[in-house]
Amino acid sequence: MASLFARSAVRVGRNVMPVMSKRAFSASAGRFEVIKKYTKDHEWVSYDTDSKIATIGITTYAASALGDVVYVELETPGTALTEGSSLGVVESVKSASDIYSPVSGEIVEANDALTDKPGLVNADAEGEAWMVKVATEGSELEALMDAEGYEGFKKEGAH
Amino acid sequence: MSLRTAASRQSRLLLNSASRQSNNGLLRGSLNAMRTKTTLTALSSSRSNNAITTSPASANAIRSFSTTPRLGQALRRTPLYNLHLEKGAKMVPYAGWSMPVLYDGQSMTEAHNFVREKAGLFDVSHMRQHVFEGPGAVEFLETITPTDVTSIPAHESKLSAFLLPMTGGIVDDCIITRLTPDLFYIVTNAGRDAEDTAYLAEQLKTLNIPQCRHHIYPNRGLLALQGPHAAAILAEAMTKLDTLQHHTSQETSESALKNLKFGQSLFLQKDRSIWGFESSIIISRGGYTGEDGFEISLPGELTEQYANTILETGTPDRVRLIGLGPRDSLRLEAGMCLYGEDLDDTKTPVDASLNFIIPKNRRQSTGYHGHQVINAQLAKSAPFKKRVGIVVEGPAPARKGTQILGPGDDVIGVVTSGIPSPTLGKNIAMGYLDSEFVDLGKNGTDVGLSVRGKRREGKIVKMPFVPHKYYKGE
Repeated sequence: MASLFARSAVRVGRNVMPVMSKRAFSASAGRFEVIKKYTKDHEWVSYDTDSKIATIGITTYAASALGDVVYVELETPGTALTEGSSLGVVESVKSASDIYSPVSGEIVEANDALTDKPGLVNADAEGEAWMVKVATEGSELEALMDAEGYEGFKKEGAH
Repeated sequence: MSLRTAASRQSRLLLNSASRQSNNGLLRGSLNAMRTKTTLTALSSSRSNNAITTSPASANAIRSFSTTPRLGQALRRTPLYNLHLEKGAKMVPYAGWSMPVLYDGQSMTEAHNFVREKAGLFDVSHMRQHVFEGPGAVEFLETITPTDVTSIPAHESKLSAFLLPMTGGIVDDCIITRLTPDLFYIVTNAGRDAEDTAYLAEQLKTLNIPQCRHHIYPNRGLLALQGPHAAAILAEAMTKLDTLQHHTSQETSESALKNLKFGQSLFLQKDRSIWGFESSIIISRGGYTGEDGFEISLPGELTEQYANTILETGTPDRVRLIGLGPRDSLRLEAGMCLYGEDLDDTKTPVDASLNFIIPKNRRQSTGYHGHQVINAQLAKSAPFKKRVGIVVEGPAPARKGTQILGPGDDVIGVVTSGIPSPTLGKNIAMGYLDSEFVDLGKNGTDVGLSVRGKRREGKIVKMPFVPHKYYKGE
């Protein structure tokens, strides 16, 4: 499974090469292992196939739909996650939303900056407001949507 | 699976979470101590074409009418539906209606604060508008509610509740406005329409009080203009609206509003030669935000014109359309209940800490539904719950369903509504203490809140959380 996935990851990487090329040259010495996928529940997962670390957050679309985020509570490093288990909660004026992990693995880092500055989720949902980093084999990633698929999914959802 | 609304755990994403929000009555809060307004309008009971009428004889006919859609039935639209779309509203299904939750370019917090600082215009046309009329109307209303209907002066309103016989459970909360000695205008919740309709038909039939007729006006509009600038904007808008100008011809619209205190209403008739509810405009001072403001009941066909005139008069600097989302946070800060969250038919007005809706002269009465239970609860000889306000310390809001904990982590109650308060910057909640623990329901008592398994500290506080700013005259 792992080798199969690695191949597909490389393939996905090539597909998005125009987008990834800047990073490739500046940071990862010509490797294209960082792939970004999206879930139907409006999360993003950025997976580095080299370090096997998945960085997870909610999408800009989700942050905008939630409105003003006033509180973020995240599980702590060391917490074991299975796909679908809660990795944290995002609270806005309107509602409390659990964030369920799209992957299985172990949390290696939680973004503590969000505790003091929950507003980062609205300001930079897919950048500074990443939520957790998870060490994972990433076997669940293949079933998720790529950027194009997610765009289409959002449009469908709008109707 | 992932982003889910934790409170309900049903809809997959927050994108729909607003549909849980809001709606509800006007003029909440302490509607007591209001002065008599003497401009009693003699209103004859001309039967209108569009009203749906219930009487003991036709009690069953009303059952076929309901706005609660069955599966596949289209959502109902208010007279302002097109205006909402024009203004970029995010529309959500609410109680069978397509309603605006937030408008383009607004955040919940900004829209909320705008109402507290300037003014907001709300479309609440989904709410149900009723008339009860005839010599038997007082007796009927004094049987199904705990209100001293006899003593309501003409053109004044009271918060009230329809009660279940025997148990005194609240079927719905409502506002009763007396228009003439024998004619009452009542507004109920859209979300309770099916239940109210069945209940009222049953009560009219069972009680069989002669000469009490019930009409529902499904085509009327209802606007709420709320906030510190509401009075100035409405006075100015009224001078531009022919109908209103004509009917306050005795006084300027400005002085008419100046004389209109919280809980009072102006009844305006388009054509004085044709008396009737159908064509009337009722401006009531009050609302569901705790701010000074008005609710304007009017014929459906006038609703868009009035809304536009108010918006143009106020300009976006002073008044904006506001959706159901901020309406919910505003009412919670004002300590007001939302039926379905904070009220249900297992709770009496005493459980709900709404004792003020039961005047002293009715507390011995055996004439109203549920008096057996309610009078005993008032005398503390029967168990009762207690609705309390809680300020939650720390950053995590306590939402609906959160357990309220005593000193030893024992469960003493449950939260029914909770939000991060945009006005206070603190997390606030209302909830019920179980009957064994009502003694803990004193202001300043420390309680715990079990938020996702962690105990968070909180304190019981007096409601409203944000002081009411009702207009009591100059």
